[in-house]
Amino acid sequence: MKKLASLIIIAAVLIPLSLYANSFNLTLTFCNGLDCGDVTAPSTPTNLEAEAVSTSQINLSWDASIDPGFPALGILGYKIYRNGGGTEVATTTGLSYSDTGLADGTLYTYTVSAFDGAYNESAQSSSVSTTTLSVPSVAPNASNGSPSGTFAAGTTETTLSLATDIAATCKYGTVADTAYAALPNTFSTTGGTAHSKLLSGLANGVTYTYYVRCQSTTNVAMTSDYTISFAVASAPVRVPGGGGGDKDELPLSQVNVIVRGIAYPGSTINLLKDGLAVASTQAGPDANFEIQLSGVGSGTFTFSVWAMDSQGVRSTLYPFTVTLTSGVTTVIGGVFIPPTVSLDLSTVKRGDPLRVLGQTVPNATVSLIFHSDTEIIDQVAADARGVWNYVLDTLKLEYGDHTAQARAAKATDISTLSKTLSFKVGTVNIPVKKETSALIGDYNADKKVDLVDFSIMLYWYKRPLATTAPPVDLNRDGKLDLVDFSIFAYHWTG
Amino acid sequence: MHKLLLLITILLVPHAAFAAVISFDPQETTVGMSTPFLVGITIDSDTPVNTIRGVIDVPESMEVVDASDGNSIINLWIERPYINDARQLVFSGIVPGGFEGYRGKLLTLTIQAKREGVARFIVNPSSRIYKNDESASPQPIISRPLDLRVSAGRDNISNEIPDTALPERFMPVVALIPDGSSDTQATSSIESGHWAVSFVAQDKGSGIAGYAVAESFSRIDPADERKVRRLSWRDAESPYVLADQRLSSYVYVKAIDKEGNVRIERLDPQQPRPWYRTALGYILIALIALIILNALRTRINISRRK
Repeated sequence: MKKLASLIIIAAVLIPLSLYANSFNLTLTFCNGLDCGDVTAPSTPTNLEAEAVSTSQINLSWDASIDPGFPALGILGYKIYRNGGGTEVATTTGLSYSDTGLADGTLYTYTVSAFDGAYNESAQSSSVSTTTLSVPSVAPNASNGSPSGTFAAGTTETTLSLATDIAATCKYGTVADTAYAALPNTFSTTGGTAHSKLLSGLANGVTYTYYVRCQSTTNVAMTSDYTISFAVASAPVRVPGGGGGDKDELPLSQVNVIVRGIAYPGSTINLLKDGLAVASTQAGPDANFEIQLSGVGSGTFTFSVWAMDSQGVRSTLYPFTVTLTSGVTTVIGGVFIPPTVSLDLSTVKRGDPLRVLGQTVPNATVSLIFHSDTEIIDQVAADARGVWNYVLDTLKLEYGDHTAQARAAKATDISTLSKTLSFKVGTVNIPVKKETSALIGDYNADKKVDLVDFSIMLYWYKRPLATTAPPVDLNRDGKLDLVDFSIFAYHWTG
Repeated sequence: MHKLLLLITILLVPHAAFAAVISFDPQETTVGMSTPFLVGITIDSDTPVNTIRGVIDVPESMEVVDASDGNSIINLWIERPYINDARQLVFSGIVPGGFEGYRGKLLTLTIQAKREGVARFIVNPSSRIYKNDESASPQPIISRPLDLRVSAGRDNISNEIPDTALPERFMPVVALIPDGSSDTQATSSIESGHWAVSFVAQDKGSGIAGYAVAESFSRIDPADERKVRRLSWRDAESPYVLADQRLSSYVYVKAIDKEGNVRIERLDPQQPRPWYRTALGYILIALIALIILNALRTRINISRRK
């Protein structure tokens, strides 16, 4: 009796469903995970365009395909084919691709196909052809010469480097106005657009000046010098600024890394090595800082620096990846920590002023960027303490959500962008809540976002999230996944 | 209907003005079968990215013998590299502060070719990269497949670069891992959970092979190999829940690289045992007890004689 009832129920569901499917000419297929019976190929990508942007690069772009399959698993990516080859040269999830490493002055033909979640591939698009730019018969232009300024006494090695706008071979010497062919030294890494040479045997109290000339692959050489000049201090330097002012320099034999830069006057500077806090110092009244780190071995390291301003507001992390050689002191200069930024209101009544404030280098120019339907960019000058204050006329903005960012410029140096702050233009004013306990990602409430908090996330990763679990689901989508780890990494303090 | 689908697709598919490039960096594109060879996996990104999950389709004719994180830009691993049931190499991790640059190393694979022909490694489209921003925006990925030609008679470049350097010094931390058994929100006091030791070490040579943890009431110099060997080591992953939840033990964490070089860090007990609960304390108490008993017995004997 039970079996008969089950059969009747199944028939009652399947018969109308199949009639419905037939009326729309659909094919019903039973699913099994990703192998879900979607056998329909996506539509062919359209409007494929190719643009030669250099002697070795062509940029492609196209319009999106759609996946009409059932169930529609969505477009997973696009395959790029070159010169009629049956094998793709690349896959991408986006709607553009830069094909690099091409020969100059050569005609290339491309097609693109789309594939969906069931790996059904569309037909290839109409082909487009373009020719890479021919190698110019002009001399290279040199830029970004390094190093500059003055190294600490005891520095014995540095890397001479510069860039050229086109592929070239670069040479250098110590006598000005020497023709390219007569220059005595060739960079050890050269031939492309980045050129470098390790210089060793540097001595204290000496200023070094090198004259560089480069020659293109078509044998056109620069006719004037590109000068790179730097010095090594004659006396041991001291850590500048308040807290570090009385600190003697570490013996140079122990020093592996020296990080120099500018932040905010009197600010606390924290140095992270591979994500973990290893040193801190205080910037001087001119915002300059220097951190020396000893006992670091050889290898590739990711360092980050962040600062806290006089109001206790943190900067974003300023990361850099360097390869260190044991026994060699590596100087990382030119670190320009982005300004701190804060708002007085989280929601501002349209027409009322919104104050945006923060701290940076004394007398710097701060550029403010308000991301809106119409982007607003404006500037304000920092005072002698590096403090800046800007009032935004919110009549310029529509109702809704907006974001603000800042960057600072001093002389020829420009910082990276500050952290992004969100605010809303509405009908009432709501002040920003003071940050009391709320460091995002600080699950153990120790005012740091660090390894312990990462361990707490790992503990909960792939475990069901209990309602009483720590707030590891940072984007509040009901699960702990890579997005939460990414938000966590953004807020890392070490 | 199609117009609606097209609109949804345009809205959902991010425009790849900026992208991260995952590349393979083989020693050679024609390899032999007699010995393993190396293939690096690198990333280029013109925008800071902080979270990477790589899924690499491994061809049938190849076997991944090892995946080394030596010199990797990934500082903290969510999933250390492993091969799944679908013959895919999977790994994920984060770079606090983000990585922006050219040819940042993710992994170095040691691969053994099993048969001749052409083998293709592909970065599977299920790989994910997220930007270093507050909303974890996905970063489009561009990849090029790697085609390797396997020729039986060819000799591979020798990979025997000795790594004699210890893993870098590291700082384990003992902290409470909230287990959700009570209100453990960051804004309230933490009342419940397990005490665990968290650790991460870097090895710039061969890469980290694994970790082990030992707990002991004894304070041992990590350089004393004989005593270190006597400790009761357990293979561990961070976070490692401590057996001694009273935190009265010394905690030793051992990082081992793939050449067998070992770095040991020691943490002092957070709640040292009072002197009378140490071995010396027990002996002293026993001795005092014996002396008192002996004195009592002597006095009793004297009074009996009287």
